[in-house]
Amino acid sequence: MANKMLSVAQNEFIKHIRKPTFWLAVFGMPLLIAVVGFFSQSNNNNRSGFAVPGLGDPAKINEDILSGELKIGFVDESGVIKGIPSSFDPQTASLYIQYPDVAQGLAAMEKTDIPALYVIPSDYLATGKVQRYSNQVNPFGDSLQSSLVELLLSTSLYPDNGSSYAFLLQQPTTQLKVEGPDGPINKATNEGERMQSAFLLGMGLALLLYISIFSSANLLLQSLIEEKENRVIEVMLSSLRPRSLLQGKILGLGLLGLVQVAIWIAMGALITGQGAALGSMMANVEISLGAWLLALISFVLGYAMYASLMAGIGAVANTMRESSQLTVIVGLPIIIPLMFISVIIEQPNGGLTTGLSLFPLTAPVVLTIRSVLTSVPLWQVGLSVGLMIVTVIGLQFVTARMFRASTLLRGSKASFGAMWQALRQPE
Amino acid sequence: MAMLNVVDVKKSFAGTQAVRGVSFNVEPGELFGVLGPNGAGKTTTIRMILDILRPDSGSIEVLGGPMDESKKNRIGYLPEERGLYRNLKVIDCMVYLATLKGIERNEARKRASAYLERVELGHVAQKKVSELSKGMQQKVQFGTTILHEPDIVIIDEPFEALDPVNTRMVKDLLFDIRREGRAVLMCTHQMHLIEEMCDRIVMFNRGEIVLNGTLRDVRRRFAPNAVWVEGNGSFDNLPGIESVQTENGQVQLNLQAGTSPQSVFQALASRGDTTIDRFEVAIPSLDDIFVRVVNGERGQ
Repeated sequence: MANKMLSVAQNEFIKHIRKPTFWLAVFGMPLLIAVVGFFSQSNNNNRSGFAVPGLGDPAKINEDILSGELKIGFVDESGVIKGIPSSFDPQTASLYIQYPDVAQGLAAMEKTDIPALYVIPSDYLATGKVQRYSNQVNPFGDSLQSSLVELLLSTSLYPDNGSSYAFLLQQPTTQLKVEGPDGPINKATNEGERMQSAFLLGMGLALLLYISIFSSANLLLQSLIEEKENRVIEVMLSSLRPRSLLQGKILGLGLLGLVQVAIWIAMGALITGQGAALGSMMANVEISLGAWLLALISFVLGYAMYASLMAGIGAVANTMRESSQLTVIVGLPIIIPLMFISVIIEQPNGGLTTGLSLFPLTAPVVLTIRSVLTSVPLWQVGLSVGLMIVTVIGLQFVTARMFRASTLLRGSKASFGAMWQALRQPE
Repeated sequence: MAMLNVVDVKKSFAGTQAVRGVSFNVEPGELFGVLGPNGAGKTTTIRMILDILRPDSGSIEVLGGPMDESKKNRIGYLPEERGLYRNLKVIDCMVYLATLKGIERNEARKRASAYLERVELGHVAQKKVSELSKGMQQKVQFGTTILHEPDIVIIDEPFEALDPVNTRMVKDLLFDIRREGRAVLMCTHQMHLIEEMCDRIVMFNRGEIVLNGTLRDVRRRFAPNAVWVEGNGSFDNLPGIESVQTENGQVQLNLQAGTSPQSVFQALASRGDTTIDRFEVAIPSLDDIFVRVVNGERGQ
């Protein structure tokens, strides 16, 4: 029966990829974003200020500096920094606090005198790596702090290049290699770069899931409703099991969704020229193979779960209008992790985060973020993946019965009674 | 071995009993007619045979046993409400539906092309289904029903939208299937086609089978024990005649119990003042029987 399922998948893929509307969506969306981005950029360039990649809004940075909130604590074990460079203007110079050793630096950090401590190790000149300790998480703020440390280092090493925060704004430097320490101080190991990558990976996964699911789900709904309207589905169900039909559609349209997303990512990278930067950023971040693997598993299971839900909607709804409201409700759980993103990043092993990583509908995103941020207990990974698999099977079990439901064939509105009757029928 | 054996099958929807203990069987090489008014339970029964719906009770045996996935490949189904992908090319649509019946893609393409040529639609193979006339779509749909050479063909209103030439074409295809020892179960409201084509029939009414048998048996059961006569002269005062009815120049002589049509014919022939143009034992049409059954009559 697998052949029939693959036939359905192949047909769905080919049928939709040949449609001009598909290609319109594939190329129209990036084009639209590019146009909006172009006008937005033009608008920005006309302003008096400007944004610096990696540093954020200069107005906000100035605000932080003036209010004295921004302090950079560091310990120099390498001897590279011979005091704050004289070329720094007083305002920039006042940002830095040097500590004689790591212990005192960490103590200051614990007292919240400084948000983070940078340790320039004795082998810095050989490795180019700096350790960063922090109890707070602010992905974008961390980037600013790291850049200011880099300014201090680069000015100390190459005094002729520039001398102040103004230089940094005008000429953003290359990425600082920041590493978390190995060893006993695990309590304070929330490295900024790792935070950022976790944040970006989580966001990326959530967006990828959302876009894949909703672009594919829309096609799935259209396909199902079209088949219900023109009665092809009755012929289909006389040829193969509802579950094979469902799985074939999910597979075919899922692949189509992935093609769409892959093209978008490639076009986005080309248009913005960020492909290399993205690659470089990811290369700088140590994400274990296991975490990548878990992200992939989470994506596949997440897609299978949501696509099954969408197919269920398609089975009970007769028109796109009927289905649209349900689609939004069903898509909500994907957004929940984004609503709690700061809690998830700050407390990757906290109760809420753990709960969200175990709840199947939020697990794909949250489990991925956790696996990047922290070492997730194996039993939790197993339980989370297990629950997702059970949910996929359960949803397909229910949806396959919905396909068989008499409402599917009668064109009438799905009543709870009819759905209940369908569920009680053997597949 | 019966191709299809339906035994005491029942099905309800939300408290409404759509099918009430239906039983019948279809034999190899048989063209089997299913009649009944709208909402009588015919389509629900067909869907249960095809495993699209599950019966609440009773049993359905297909090709000697319960329905399974492999047997779905041996059944062809033409639903009353047609199902084709309107935006696909005719050939692609036929090939896809054939692959769902277990036919390999290249083989399906060959068969589809051959079929389209046979039904004079070779020139539309690359056109979209939506560009075809209703009659053409009907022939394409019929093709998808038989392309995989099924052992059982289940067709609901197969002649809808077809002109007489195309009706003849489809009839010939169905006769071929019967000749090859396969079975056809046909639902239609076109009684003359049932009369012309079917070996046996069942008639549904309100979820039950109210008639079941060969056409000859069914007609006899509803025969009024009368003769129809056309001619000149008087048809009154004949021995063994209970009453005389005249309609549109045709006289119906209703016979008393025990009177044979032959004795009436002899009595008429012996009358010097009466000429006979037509003499026929009164056999009701299927149309008549249908109306009478729907109105509650069960026959003798």
